[in-house]
Amino acid sequence: VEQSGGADSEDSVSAESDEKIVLTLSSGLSTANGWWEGYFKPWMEEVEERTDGRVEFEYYANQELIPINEELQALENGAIDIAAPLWTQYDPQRFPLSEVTMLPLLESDTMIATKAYGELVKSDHELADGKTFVEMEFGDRGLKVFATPTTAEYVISTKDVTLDTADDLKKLSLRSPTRVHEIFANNVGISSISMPSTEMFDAINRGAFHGSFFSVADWTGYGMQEVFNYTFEGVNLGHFAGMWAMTEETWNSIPEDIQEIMEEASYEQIPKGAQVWMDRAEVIRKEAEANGAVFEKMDDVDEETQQLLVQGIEDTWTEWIEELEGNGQPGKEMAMLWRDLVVEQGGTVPEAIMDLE
Amino acid sequence: MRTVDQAYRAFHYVKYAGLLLSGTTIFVMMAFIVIDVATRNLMGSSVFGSYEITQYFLMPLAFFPALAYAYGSGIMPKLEMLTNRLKPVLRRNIAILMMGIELVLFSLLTFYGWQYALSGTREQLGFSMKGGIVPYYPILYFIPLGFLLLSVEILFLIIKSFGQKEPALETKLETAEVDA
Amino acid sequence: MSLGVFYIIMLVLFLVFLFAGMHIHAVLLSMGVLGIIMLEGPGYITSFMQSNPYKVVASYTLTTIPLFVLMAQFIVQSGIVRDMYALVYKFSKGKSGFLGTLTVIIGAFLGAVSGSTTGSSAALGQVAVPELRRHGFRDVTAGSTIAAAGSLSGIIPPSIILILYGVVTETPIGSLFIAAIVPGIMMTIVIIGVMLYMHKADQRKALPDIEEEVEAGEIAPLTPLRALFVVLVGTVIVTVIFGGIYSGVFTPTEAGAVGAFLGFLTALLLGKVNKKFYVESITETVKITTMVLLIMVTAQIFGRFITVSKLPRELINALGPLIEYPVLILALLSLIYFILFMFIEGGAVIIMATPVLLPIVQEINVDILWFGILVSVICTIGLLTPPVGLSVFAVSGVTGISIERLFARSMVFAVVLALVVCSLMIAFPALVTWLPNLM
Ligand code: NA
Ligand code: NA
Repeated sequence: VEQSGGADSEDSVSAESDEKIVLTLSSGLSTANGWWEGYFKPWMEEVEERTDGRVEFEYYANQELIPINEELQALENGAIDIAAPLWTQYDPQRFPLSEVTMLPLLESDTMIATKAYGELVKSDHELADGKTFVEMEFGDRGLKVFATPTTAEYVISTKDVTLDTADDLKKLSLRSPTRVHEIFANNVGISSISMPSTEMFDAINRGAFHGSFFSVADWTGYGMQEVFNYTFEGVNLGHFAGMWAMTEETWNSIPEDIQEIMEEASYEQIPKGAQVWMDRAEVIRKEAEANGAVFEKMDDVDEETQQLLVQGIEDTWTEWIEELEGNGQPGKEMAMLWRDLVVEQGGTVPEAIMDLE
Repeated sequence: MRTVDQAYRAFHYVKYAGLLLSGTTIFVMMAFIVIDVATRNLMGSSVFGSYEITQYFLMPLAFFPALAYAYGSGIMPKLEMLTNRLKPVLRRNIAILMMGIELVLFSLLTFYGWQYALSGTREQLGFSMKGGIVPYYPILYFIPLGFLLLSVEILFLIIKSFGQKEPALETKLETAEVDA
Repeated sequence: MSLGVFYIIMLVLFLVFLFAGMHIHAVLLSMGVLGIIMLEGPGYITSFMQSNPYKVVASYTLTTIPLFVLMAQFIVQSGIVRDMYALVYKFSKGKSGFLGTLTVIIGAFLGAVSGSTTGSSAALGQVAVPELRRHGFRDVTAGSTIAAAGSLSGIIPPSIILILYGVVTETPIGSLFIAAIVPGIMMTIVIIGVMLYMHKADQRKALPDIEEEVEAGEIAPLTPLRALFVVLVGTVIVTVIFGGIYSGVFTPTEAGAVGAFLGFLTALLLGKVNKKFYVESITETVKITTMVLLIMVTAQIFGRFITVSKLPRELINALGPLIEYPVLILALLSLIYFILFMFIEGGAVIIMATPVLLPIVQEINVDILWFGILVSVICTIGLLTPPVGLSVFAVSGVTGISIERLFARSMVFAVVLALVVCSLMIAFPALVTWLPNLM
C-alpha cells in the first residue's frame, strides 16, 4: 500500500479516512481474459467509484510485474498489495484443498460453480481442528482472500478425433492442464500430454496429439477456436478457480468502511463475472458450430464408454481424497462440502459420490 | 600474487566442473526431448513428463553452474569503442570500477537466490506430473551457487587487474590446459 | 527531484555505463536495480531479484537456444558446413555474393523452424561467419547480415513474438502466422539487397588483412563423393526438420532437439565423435547459451523498472488528444514501439505496451491483425538496433566481432528494413491481410 505522493511502499496505510489509499494490484492474466474483464477490472472500477476516489488502484496485468505463481512471495515482500488472482490451483503443494473445484462432475455450469465457490469461501463449515476451508488454507499464511468467479467447465476438445466407443478413449491423447486432469486421464485410459499452453496451438494443429482438457469460454485466449472441431461435454472436468488475495496485515490497515465496500463489490461482481464467461462460451460455440465443429453429450457415446467415464469420475474423487488424507489433509470433508455446495446450486455428480459420507 | 594465481588456478577446476555439468545437461536435454518425441509418436503419450522435467530441472542446470566459466571466457558482450582509445592504466581502472559494480550486483543475486532457495525448501515447492507432485526445490540451490561462483570469478579478475597495467577481463587459461 | 530529471539522469547513467565498457548484462541489471530502488524503495527489489533469474531460465520454449546452438556446433565441428559453402562457392563460379544470399535464405529457413531470434542468430553466426570470411566477406558485413538473417525468426512463423501478441490481444495465432509470411519474405529480400550492396562496396575497397587468420584452418579437398555426402546430409536434415514440424511429429520447439540429434548422428557417421569433439561442442554451446540467457534475465529485471516507471503508459496517455489524426497516431505508435524495442527485449515490450496501446489502435479503426504484424516487424528490426540489440549481441558473442562495429552495420539493415517494409505495409495493407483472407 502506498500513500499518495509517497514513494515508499513499506509504509502501511493510515486509518485517516481523508487520505487517498493507493493499492498495487498485480495480475498474471491478459487484459482480454474473462476473469480480468468480468471480475477484476469492473471490481476495481466499482471500488474506486463507491469510495469516491479514496481508493485508487495501480494495476499491472499480463505478468508485467510479477510472474504467475510468484504472487504469494510478492505479497509477503510487499511488492504488491493484491494478487489478482492467486493461482492456488497451480500450486497444489501449498494449497492442497483448493484443488477441490477441479474434481469432475456430471452436470454444472459456470454460474453453478461460481455460486458454489462463493459459498465455499464464505462457509463456516469446519473441516478439521475447528477450522474452515479458508482458515485452513489461507489463515495460517496470514492471507485475506475473496472468491473469484470460476472458469467455465473444462471439457474434452479435440481436432479431427471423435469419441464414440471405449476404444476411442484409450487411443486419445490430451494435454492435461492440471493435476486432477492427469488423475482422471489416467483413470479412464486417456494418455496425458504435458506441454506449455503457448505451444499447444501449434502442436494440436499439426496433429502432435489430439486435443486438450479445456474450457470453451477460454478458447480465444489461446487461438483454439481455429483448432478444435470436436468437443465432448458429457463429463464436466471441473472448474478452474483462483483467489483474490491480500495479506491480512495490509487488509487490516484499510479503514473498515472501505473494507466493506471492497468485499461487497467483490461478491456482487462474482456472478456478473460468471455471466461474462457464459456469454463468451455461447459466442465461441455458435461460431464454432457455424464452422462445422461438433459438440456432443453423454448420450452420444455408447453405454460402455458412459460407464467408463462415470467410473473415472468416481475413481478420481476417491484417489484425490485418499491422497489428501494420506498427507494429513481433510480431503474427504473437503470433497463432501464441495459436492454439497455444487448440488445445492443445481449441479449433479455420480451416485457413488452422492453416497459419500 | 602467487597465492592468488594458485587459488585462481584451483578455482578454474571448479568452473570447469560447472561447465561440464551444464554442457552435459544440454546434451541430456537433447536426448530427453528426442525420446519424448519418439514415445509420443509411437505410444501416444509423454512418458516422462519431459516438458516439466526439462523446464524445472534441465534448463536451470544448463545455465547456473556454467555462469562463472562463461563469464571468464570473455564471451559476455560489451562496448569497447571508447575505452579502447584510453591509456591502459586508465582503462584498467575503469574496468576495475565496472567489475566492482558487477561484483556488488551478483553478490546481491547470490543473496537473494539463497533466500529464494530457502523459501522454496520451506514450502517444499513441487510441480505436478502424471497426477503426482515432484519436488523441484533442491534445484533452486544452483541459483545462489551459480551466482556465487560468478562473483568469485569477478573478484579474481579484479584482484588480477590490480596487479598488472592492463585490465584482466577474461581467463587466459584454456580448457586444454586443465584437460592435460 | 522531479520525475523528468530522474529519467534523464537514468538515461545518462545508462549511456555512461555502456560506453565505459560495462558488460551489457551488468548495464541492464544495474539500471534495473537502481531504478526500482529509486522509485519504490529497497524492499521492492526482493521479489524480482529472488524469482526472476529462475523464472526466466526455467522455460521449455527457451530450450531452442541451447539446442539450436548445439545443432550448429555439431554440424560445424563435423566439417559439413565448410564443405557446403565450398560447394556452393564452386557452383556459383566464385561469386561470393551468392554465398551471402544463401546465408540469408538459410536464416529465413531457420526462422521457419525456430521461434527464437537469439538462438537463430547465434547458431547462424558460428556456422556462417567464418565461411563468409573465408570467401572474401568483411567480418562486419558477414556478422551484421547474419544478425539480420537470424532476427527473421522473429517474424517468419512460428514466432514467439506473434504468439505473445496473439495471446495478449486474443487475435487468432494461426491468422497471425499466415499474415506474417509475405512481410517475412519481403524482409528476407531487403536483407539480401542490403547485404549485396554492402558486399559490393566492401570489394571496391582493399580487403583488410584478415585473410590469413581465417585461412589458417586446413581445407580438405572436396571429392565428388564427399560433395554428394554433404548434399545428402543437408537434404536429410532439412527434410526431417520441416517434414517433422509440418506433419506434426514434433513441435517447432522440439525441432531444436531433433536438429541437434541429427547433427550428432552426422558427426557420428563421419567418425568425428570423440572426447575432444564432445567437450568442444558443449563448451561453445554452454558459453553462448549462458551469454544469451544472462542477458535475457537481466533484460527482464530492467523491464520491471520500465514497468514500474509507467513511462510507456505516460507516453500513450500523451497520444490521447491526437485521436482525430489516425495517420499521425499510427506513425507515432510505430515510433513508440521502435523506441521501446531499441531499449527493451521484444517479448517484454509486446506484453507491457500492447494492452495499453490496443484501445488507441481500435479507436482509429486499424485492423488488429495488420497492426500485430507491423509491431512484429518493428520488433524484429529492434533486434538490430543499439543499445539493446539481442541479435547483434548474440553474433558478437559467437564471433568476437565488436558490438559497436556490428551496430554500425546492423543499423543500416534496420533503417532500410524500417523504411521499405513498414512503408510498403502501410501503403498496401493487403500485403498482410491478403493471405489470411484467402483462408
Ligand atoms: Na520463426
Ligand atoms: Na534494439
